[in-house]
Amino acid sequence: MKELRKLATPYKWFMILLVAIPVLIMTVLSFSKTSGVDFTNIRFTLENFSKLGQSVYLEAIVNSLTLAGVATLICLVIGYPIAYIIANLQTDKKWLILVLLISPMWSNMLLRIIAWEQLFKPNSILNSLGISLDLIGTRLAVVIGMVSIYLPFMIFPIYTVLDKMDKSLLEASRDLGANKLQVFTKVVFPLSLSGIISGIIMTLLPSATAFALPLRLGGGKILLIGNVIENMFKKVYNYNLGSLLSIMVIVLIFASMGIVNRDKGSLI
Amino acid sequence: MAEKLIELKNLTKRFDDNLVVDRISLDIYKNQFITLLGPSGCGKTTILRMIAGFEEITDGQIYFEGKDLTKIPANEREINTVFQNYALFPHLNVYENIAFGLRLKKLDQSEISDRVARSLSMVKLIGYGKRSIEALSGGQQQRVALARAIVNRPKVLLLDEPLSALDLKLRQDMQYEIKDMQHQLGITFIFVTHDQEEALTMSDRIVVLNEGKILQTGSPEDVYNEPVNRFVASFIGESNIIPGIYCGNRVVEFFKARFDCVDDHFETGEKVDVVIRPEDFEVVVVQEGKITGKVADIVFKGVHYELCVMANGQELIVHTLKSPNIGDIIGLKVDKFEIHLMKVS
Repeated sequence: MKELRKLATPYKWFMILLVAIPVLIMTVLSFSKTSGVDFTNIRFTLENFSKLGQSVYLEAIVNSLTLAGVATLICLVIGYPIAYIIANLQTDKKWLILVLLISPMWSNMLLRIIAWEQLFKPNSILNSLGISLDLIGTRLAVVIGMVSIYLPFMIFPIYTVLDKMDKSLLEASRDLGANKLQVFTKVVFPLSLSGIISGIIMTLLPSATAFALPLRLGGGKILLIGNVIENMFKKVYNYNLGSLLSIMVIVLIFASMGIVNRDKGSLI
Repeated sequence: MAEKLIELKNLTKRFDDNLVVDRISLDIYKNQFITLLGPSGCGKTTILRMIAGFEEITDGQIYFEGKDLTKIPANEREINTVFQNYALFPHLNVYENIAFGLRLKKLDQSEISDRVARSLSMVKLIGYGKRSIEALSGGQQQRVALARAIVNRPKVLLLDEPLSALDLKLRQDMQYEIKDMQHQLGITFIFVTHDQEEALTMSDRIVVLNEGKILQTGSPEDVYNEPVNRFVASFIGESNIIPGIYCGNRVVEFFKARFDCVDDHFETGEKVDVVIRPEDFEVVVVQEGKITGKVADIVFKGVHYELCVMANGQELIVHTLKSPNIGDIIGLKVDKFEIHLMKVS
């Protein structure tokens, strides 16, 4: 074990330098008033918190959570059956299907977002099919973008759990009198909850904090928390409020993970 | 004879080109403890899985109380299984695991709790209902698996090598307990194992299988004392197999001597295999034994000594309470009832 622990050393320093220290700096910035990251005239204050109540920030947070929530729900509804079908395929070519599923992730995410943006404009390649969409700036466009980009993150954890599931458990439930639907509702689904939860976390969090996606597909009309934070750092230069909002998002994420994990405990 | 419960007729199973079960016909009776015994890959588990309904049959029929069982899906058969790896539901506690089948039948809460409690007491796990499965030892999981199956009051209980994961002491205790349970419940147990000792201890009837075929069916005494061929003789217990010639009139010749025997269904002059169990030799002084041999090795086994005796160029295993020295020349005597003749296979 000690030998293995040494191997983690670079990772440990990587995490300290690129995660722990920045988060620490952001925490300090949240509780103070500075000009940029210049700490010479630092003044500790809680005035950043008083700005949180402003409607623009609240709206961004509500937007983020509702749009990401809807996208995650759709991902689950589409992703679970796909994962289930692949896991139950009687073939040794499963890897090929899985590779096809992740292959879009090999192209740049920004590129895929721009591709959707082009399709959602009234004048697009779809015109040749007699279709003209005008979706830029709608919530629908943002949700479609989120689903298309984060769907694999929902499928994979669920697939992994279903594929590893001990088949004798399914036989045991048949043996005890369960019909096919009952095998699913009483054994397969409850045992795949851990995969569902991982999938939800892995889709909900990146969608809720996305900023390029709402920027392009939302046409600047739909503001998510990621966009507000980006503006704070790049346009308004209010690093203090930007840091505070970022920290709030982190806290929100950990809180939701905590709730989900607690519920998982009672469900299983 | 007891009432027939399950009838296998020319039961056959192929996996692709691999013939796993080859035209097996077998009657299984009510309230019987029957063991399918054979080495791994002999098809015993596949037969069990076909009876349970987890495996489609390739050819042949299975009748259950006279009805074609293959038309009934696994979940509607009055048969329950104890799986080799127990297959307990990790997301349910002990109580809910056992109640699983009863809840599917939509029984009253009071009846469910009553029956779960009774089956927990039968497997000696009273008070374990609220435990999680992970918190149990292998032996306790085994008991929960048994309780989960018997609580449904099946007509047949299938047991697929249920004791193979337990240590020796626990395995021996469970052998008696399972046998006891079968007596109490009065239902048919079909037990699959590769362990001949387990089969001899527990069974009313043993079916010896190899390469998808039934070699011998009979009581433990029959199978032990009268093995039909070399495979059965060497698979069940230790045995000495000596080539001989049947001389007619219940006399057999081997090791250049003639012995009286009790088998007579052979032709005069026919080559036979003679089976003598190690414990059936009597060690005597050279003058008194028809067989003479030199002690090549001696191992103390607790109750007895195990001798390796070289006689007429063949190694014989002999169990005895005496302890001669290595190199001693000894005589061996065999009672005529202990000489068993088999057709040469």
